[in-house]
Amino acid sequence: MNRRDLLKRIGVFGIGRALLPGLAANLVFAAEEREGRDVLVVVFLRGGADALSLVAPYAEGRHYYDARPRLAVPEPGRPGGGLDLDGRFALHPALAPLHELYREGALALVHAAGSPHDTRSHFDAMQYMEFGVPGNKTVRTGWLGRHLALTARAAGGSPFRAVGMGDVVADALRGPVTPLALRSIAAFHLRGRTGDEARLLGALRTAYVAPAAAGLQPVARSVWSSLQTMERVARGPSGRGGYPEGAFGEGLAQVARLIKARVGLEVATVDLDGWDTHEEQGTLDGGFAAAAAELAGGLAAFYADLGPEARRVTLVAMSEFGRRVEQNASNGTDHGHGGVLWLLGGGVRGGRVYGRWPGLAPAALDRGDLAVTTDFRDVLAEVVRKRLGNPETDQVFPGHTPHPLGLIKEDRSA
Amino acid sequence: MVNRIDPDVHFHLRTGFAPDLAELDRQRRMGRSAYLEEQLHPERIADPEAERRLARLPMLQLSTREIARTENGDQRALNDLTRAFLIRAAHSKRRLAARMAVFWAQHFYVPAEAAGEHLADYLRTLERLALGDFRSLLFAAARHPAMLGYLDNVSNVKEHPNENYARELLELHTLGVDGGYTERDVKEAARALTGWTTHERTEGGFYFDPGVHDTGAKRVLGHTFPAGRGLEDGLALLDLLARHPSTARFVSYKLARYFVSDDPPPELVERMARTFAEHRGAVRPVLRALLSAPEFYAAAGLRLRSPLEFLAAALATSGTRVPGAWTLWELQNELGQTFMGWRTPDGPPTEAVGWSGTGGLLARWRVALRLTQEADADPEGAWGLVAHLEERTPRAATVGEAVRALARRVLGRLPGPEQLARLVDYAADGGGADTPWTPIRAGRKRGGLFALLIASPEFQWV
Repeated sequence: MNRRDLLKRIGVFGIGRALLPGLAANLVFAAEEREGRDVLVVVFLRGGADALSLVAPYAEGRHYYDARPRLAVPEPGRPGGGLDLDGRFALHPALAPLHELYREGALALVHAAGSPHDTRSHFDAMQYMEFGVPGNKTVRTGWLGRHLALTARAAGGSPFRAVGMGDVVADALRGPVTPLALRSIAAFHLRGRTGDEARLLGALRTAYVAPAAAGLQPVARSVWSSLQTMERVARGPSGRGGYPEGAFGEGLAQVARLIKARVGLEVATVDLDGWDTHEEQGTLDGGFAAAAAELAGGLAAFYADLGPEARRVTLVAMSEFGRRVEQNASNGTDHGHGGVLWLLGGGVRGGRVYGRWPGLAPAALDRGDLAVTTDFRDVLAEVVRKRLGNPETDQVFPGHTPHPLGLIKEDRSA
Repeated sequence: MVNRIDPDVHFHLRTGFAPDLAELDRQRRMGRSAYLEEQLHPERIADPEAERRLARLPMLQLSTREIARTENGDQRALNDLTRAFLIRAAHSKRRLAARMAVFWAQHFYVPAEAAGEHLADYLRTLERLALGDFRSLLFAAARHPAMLGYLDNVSNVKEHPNENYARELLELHTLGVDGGYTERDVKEAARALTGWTTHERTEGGFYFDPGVHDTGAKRVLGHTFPAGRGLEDGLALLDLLARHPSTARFVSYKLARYFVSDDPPPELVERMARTFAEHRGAVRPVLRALLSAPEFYAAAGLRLRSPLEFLAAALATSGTRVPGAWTLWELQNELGQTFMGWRTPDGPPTEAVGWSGTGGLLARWRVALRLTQEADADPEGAWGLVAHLEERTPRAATVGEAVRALARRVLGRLPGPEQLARLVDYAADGGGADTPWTPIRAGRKRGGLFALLIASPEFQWV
């Protein structure tokens, strides 16, 4: 359940509100970080994205096509066919922009990846993944939150270390380092009162210098400096554009601006909803195709927008689980198991589909679903260690011994 | 250091969500201990204003079954429950009861998302028992479909025990993580609770399924549960937990953290725990001990309002109305806490450290500015909010008088002389306290004054 869904259901959607009023471009700004830090952007595809339609295992033949008479992605070369990756898998045709990135070597995929826990509940599966501890309900912090806490001293206290785009901060960021929930750069201000704004803000500012502010003084200082930083970012170049409309594209566009403005960003989360396709999935021409296009359009625009900065950025996209191999009676798919992990960035050894493919033969399935052969933590731990330079992956993913797949180019911690 | 807060004001602020000057006056006249006795028996307090407003929330008049049958009933009910919380915070004279209802909802925590259509009944159940005894609360939570479903006891069966509820029952609801139990106790407690599940046809939704109950002998916390029992196993377990000394200490600690400070003095907790044990978990004597303790009064001004407490107090003191579900949801999200939205069974933090990030403080300032935009300043309806500050602004001859009256209304007290001088400086455009408070000046400045007060450190720390 997200805000859009809630509001749609309560029936209050449709109040027009510009989240992003026009941003003035053309201001040069000084770099705050001389050498830009590595940035990890985590995209969560909420609802359980159908991995078998995003990355179609066309070489499975009847095991794939018979199970999904109405929903399969046709073989490459056929009308509406997928885009071949390696003779085994084909990308959904709406993912054409990602096919290019794959061929350039910037994009890698891990198929049959996911959480080893067998839950098919959104609530549990998301929590296990975001907390990074499948099957364990006693841990109350997210994997990114633990990473941020472990590296807090080295990183210093920038309020922009962790940014959650959107209204609700992703649980993966939960931990002692408070992430910044950011709806938009343009909305990060204290304006809004006409007339005596300057006098009012002056009074507020001095109120927080007073002894009565006690424990909030440092936080208040951080707010004022963040406001200045954001004003600078908002006046700066707005980026290359080309993002899809909607919260996902807007979120990625703003993450790109923060990266380029070097405000000290290390970790950002962005959500893309709409993957819970139980009914009339519309793999090729309906809701699913639109969601796939939004995903591809957003990622491709983000990568292009970053330009040379892409070398220090890694984006990982994941979902809480994949979907049942066999389609259901409503031309949809029910909750499944194995999914796909996406890695995009300058440090990714791309152009390959990683992971051991278990196949779709009935005996290879896990309760009717694609089996999980790669633990998502193996992939994330490699990113944390090699790109974010944090060797303490045993604390980021407690109880897990990672088996790196070698999908990240250089070892930064070395 | 925080300037000294009058004990009456401190008691008033901590036992409610927002200052109510008429109530504060009454409390002063009655004396704190007589007033507390009244508050401990909410059924004796007439509460027409809050009741009139609550009666207008349609989803709260429905049963769980009716909510389930309504389209998107769970979401609509959540919206009405959020409003009910804000209404009680602003208007109810049963101030302590409202606070205690929130305390238990956070103690026996089930997120709205997981409780679904059961949330309304679950909160109503805890609220009804809020000032009774701990054992009744524990039993009610243990048998409620919201809890049974959320912590998976519905799938706790003999062949495949599910320990989730048993573990949180020990760690979060009773003994506390340092309460002296072992992994084995968790497993044995889970076995005792096998078969505790839900059924649509039973009253209240609880059902004990003897077919999946583990009838073997069990040993929990040093006590033997003989073989061959059924429902009695779980009842005996809950009884044992309710009267365990670790429970007395843990629940007292949590109450002290909620009412006193983030790190309550151990001596106070120990005294409360003794009272808890002596009175077999009765809530009223523990609250009497807590609210008369010198440690309670020593902690004046040291508790940070949570984002929802901030929102409740801001709406109450400015009198701002929230017309739409959208705006309400948006305000909560901006502040970083939604009603029953915390997503793990430990419930939302009550400590300052959980809520004092950069984004959190900025959000409070932004919301303070937004809530106090008057309707006439924004023809669109102030982004979904309607403020009628004119009615809430006291009559005054001078700026100094107006500032003092407004500060009392919003903070329940006067801030220190420096803060007062700053507010006067703002309201008088650099002039002094004697500057006349003309209608024009009032129209121009009252919104800003409300905003400054709601955004002030004195409003965050109570």
